[in-house]
Amino acid sequence: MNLFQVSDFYIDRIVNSKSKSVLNGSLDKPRIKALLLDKDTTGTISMCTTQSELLEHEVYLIDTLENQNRDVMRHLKCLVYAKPTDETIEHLVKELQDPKYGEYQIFFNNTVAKTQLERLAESDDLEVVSKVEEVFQDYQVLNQDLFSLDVRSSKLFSHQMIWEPSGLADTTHSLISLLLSLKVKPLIRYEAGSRLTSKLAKEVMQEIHKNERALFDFPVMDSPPQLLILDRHQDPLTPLLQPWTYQSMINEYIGIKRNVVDLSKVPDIDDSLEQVVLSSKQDPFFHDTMYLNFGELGDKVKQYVSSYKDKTKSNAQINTIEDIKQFIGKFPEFKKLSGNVSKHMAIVSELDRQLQVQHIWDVSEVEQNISAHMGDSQVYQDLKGVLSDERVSGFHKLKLACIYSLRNATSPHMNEISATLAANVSPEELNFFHHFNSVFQTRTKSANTGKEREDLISELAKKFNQKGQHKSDNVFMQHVPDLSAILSDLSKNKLPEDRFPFLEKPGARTFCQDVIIFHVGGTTFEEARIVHEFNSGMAGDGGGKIRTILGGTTILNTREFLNDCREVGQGSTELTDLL
Amino acid sequence: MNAVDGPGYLDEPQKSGSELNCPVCAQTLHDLAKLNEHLDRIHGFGEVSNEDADSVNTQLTRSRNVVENSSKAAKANRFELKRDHWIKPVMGKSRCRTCSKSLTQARQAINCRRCGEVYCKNHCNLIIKLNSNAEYNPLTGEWCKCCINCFGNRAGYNEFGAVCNKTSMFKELRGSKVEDKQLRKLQLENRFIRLANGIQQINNQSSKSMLASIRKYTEINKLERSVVPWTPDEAAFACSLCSKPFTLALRKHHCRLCGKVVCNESQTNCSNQLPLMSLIRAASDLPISTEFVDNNAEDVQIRICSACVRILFIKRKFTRELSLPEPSILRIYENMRTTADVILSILPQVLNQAEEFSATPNAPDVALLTKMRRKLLDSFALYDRLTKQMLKIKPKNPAEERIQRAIVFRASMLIQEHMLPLRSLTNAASTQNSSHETTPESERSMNQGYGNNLSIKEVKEYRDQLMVLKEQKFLVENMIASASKQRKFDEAETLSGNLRELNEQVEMIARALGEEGFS
Repeated sequence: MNLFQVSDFYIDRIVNSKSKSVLNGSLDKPRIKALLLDKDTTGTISMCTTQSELLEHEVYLIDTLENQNRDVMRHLKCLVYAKPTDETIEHLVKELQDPKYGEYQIFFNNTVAKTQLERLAESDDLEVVSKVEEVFQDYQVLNQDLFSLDVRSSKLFSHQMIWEPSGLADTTHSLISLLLSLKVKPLIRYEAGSRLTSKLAKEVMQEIHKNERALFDFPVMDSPPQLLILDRHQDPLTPLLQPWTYQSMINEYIGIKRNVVDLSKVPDIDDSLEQVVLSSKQDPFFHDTMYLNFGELGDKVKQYVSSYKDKTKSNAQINTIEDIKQFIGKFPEFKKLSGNVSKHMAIVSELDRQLQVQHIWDVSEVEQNISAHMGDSQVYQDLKGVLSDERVSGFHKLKLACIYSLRNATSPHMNEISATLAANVSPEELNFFHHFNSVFQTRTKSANTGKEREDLISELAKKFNQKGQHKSDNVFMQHVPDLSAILSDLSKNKLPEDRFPFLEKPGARTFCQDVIIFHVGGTTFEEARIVHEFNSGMAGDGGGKIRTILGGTTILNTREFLNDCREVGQGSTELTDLL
Repeated sequence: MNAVDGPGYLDEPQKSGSELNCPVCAQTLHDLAKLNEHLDRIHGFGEVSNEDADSVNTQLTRSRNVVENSSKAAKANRFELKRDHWIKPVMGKSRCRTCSKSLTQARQAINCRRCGEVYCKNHCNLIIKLNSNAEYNPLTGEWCKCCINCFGNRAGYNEFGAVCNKTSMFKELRGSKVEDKQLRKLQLENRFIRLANGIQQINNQSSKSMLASIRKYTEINKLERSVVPWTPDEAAFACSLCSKPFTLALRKHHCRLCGKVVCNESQTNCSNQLPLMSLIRAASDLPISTEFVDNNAEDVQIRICSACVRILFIKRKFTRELSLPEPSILRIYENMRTTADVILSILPQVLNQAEEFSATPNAPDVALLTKMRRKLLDSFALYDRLTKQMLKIKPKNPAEERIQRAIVFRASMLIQEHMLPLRSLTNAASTQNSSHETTPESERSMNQGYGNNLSIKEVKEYRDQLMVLKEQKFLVENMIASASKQRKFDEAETLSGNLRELNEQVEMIARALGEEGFS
């Protein structure tokens, strides 16, 4: 259950595929390969491998299928890796009618429909295609246990609780490709009281049954893997809070898309650092620090820099020719190290700057206090202070108010809060605050009236049951996402079935060993950290009892989450009231 | 799934209150006695390496079985796990297979129920479904304790990466789709053959007699119409390919192969007058007699629409292009690759040899090592030369340029990766090596040749050093330039320190060499 392993396997399969046809008389002659990607697979590939790795496999030309002005290179073998959308099929048809390369091997990253295959076959009258294969990776791998479909919620839902038909189909297919790539045929669980999750669960189940013979022909497991589909709206608090781990802070304050961090907006940045690549697979320092919080991160960076300085010092003492030779020999590595050091220094200092500029320290402390201590009057005073603080941006004020209303829906202070907010933010934002409340309050009301009681119990349970997960005394990390409780319930095989029902209840008693958790509406890097800690805790004593993989329709930061709430709900507020 | 559960207590609804959970598999049980029994039987707690207790225990279980047989779970109770494959742990001597700690009373020994190996309590805490022969059976087995190996080796546990090959399906579809296209192609080919042969025949006759030459064009016209019936002009209002309506400016034309009415616009390229001879040459595999060829035939043209051209000639063009010689970039790359293969195959051997050599320096090894080293260096030199050749080629199009750049990049990576670490090593070997080979006498004799008290060998060595130093100086200078450009001043400072030292060394050696040096 290591997603990097899976993607390495697939990439290896694609770039090393042998050509069976001995048509041209020369066995395996065209050694240099061209790789054609479409806009979806470009992302998948770029996150799992590097150009130099591809070069090692003799892929010397990489281009996109969409590019119409490619030159004819008759002696190359062409590998096509594409998502089977109608658009790319059309591109492929054009390519096959007027082929630029000598031989084609086509790989689709998901199941291809028969009609699409027919369309391709029809256009291949030159018989240049020697292989058509489906591999299954219609998703992006971020960490070894985190994947994302990279689709914004506004494209998936026509309303907070209703799927857009195309969005539902896409999500289902992507999830199916994930299951196939891990070779699991799971028991499916969803969140009771969430239409989104139950609908998706049913679709996935249907798709599995449809392809049971052809694709999902895996050995039966004594403890079948589980697919747990969660709804982001059931835990809106986590994506609202300011995050504090390295990976999530980069996503929050600078932005990371397909492993590329865009530092071009940072003042006085060096040209070479405008766009840097950050991958936990290729960068060992990032791999070690991505889950650390900002304080721990500072120490690590300091260590990293000082170890780098030591190395420069040892390089400074060059007396003999031998020394010089050694220095030159080590230089490429040294150069790489220095590049990496300056990259991380640039990122961390930018994070620090953002924290200062946006007054995150103050904001986050209040946020965390609100979420951890319900109905505390001191907290309320702090909140009012921040709300009327002119240095804090309107966005953060709005967010604070939202958090407060989530935690204290029935508080008598609510009117006062919205009054204070009205004085400090624009009317649109205030309007959104009310919209946000209506969306999430109706939900809590309809979901279960006894929520507060349950909250109290789960709070207690959290306090006592968190073995292995140190309860942090850190003021900025008081909030524990609901996912943590779900995982700890899972590990004890006690995830309540009334809250997370099975779609098809297993006949015999089963235990949970492999879990895939999927967040409809997006997941966060904070939750990725929790899953990572859970996994390593499980691997620690006695071996991998439970292996977990987390995924989401996208990876959210606070801004994106609020925007999603804004955009998705637009124009259908009346419907919300009906529900 | 109809797996047999624990002995029946699961079938009852979970009652709150006095229920207990099994610490191993979290199964819910009603009271302590049942939990005890569950632990003994399912998880084998009762018989931990204790022969006497074992028999008592089975007795006990059996007696309990009798009691429980009255309940409906009688069948399940018969579950007896095979035990003769268990390895008997010896207290204090046996070690846990995972942590290799010796097993004592405190660190209880447990047999993995499947493989029978001995583990400590911590490393045998996973569960697996086994049948009574201790084989993995996910459907009808019972939950038993097992070790990490047996857990991980279950079928389907560590598998990933499903693929689905659609090639045969695709080829089948292609076969059925392409069939009518093949028929159409055959038809057009036949027509083309008749047309080409006929025209040539007419040509031939016309060159023989005056009369025939006058009739030539009417003859050809007749032939064309006999090969394929032309669509009457009145029936066509628009070009059959681009669907543009015909006007006075846009004239009607007939394709001589399909007989359809097409336009002659240069933009859409719907039809063209094509010289017959070049068409025949392009389709040289067709049985068209070329014996009549003479000068007259050269300027005969026939009109063919683009659709027919495509059907007739695209495949031919494609195969012809494939049989053309490879572009020079690919040819050189082929050579580079074989050289790289040679390098990569020799390199580990040389490194091994060098290691052995540094441990026990003796003569025969040295000879071999020198030979290998020379071969390796030669290959590197060849590789380098090929890379330079590659750089000199002028790419024909942007794609070639990109390939060229990628290949050069890869080549420089390869050299950086393998050449640099090798350099220090080979030099170490070579200095020792040379001291082995040259005897003091020969050294002395060489000494006399030079005025400044240096032997040939020393001169060579110094020159070598000087070269290396100059090369490094150049490199360091470049690095300083790039570092200061990137504002990494601490790096630049270090580097300029190095540069100073390098300069001193260069001067020193240059002085030592004196006349023998090279500027």
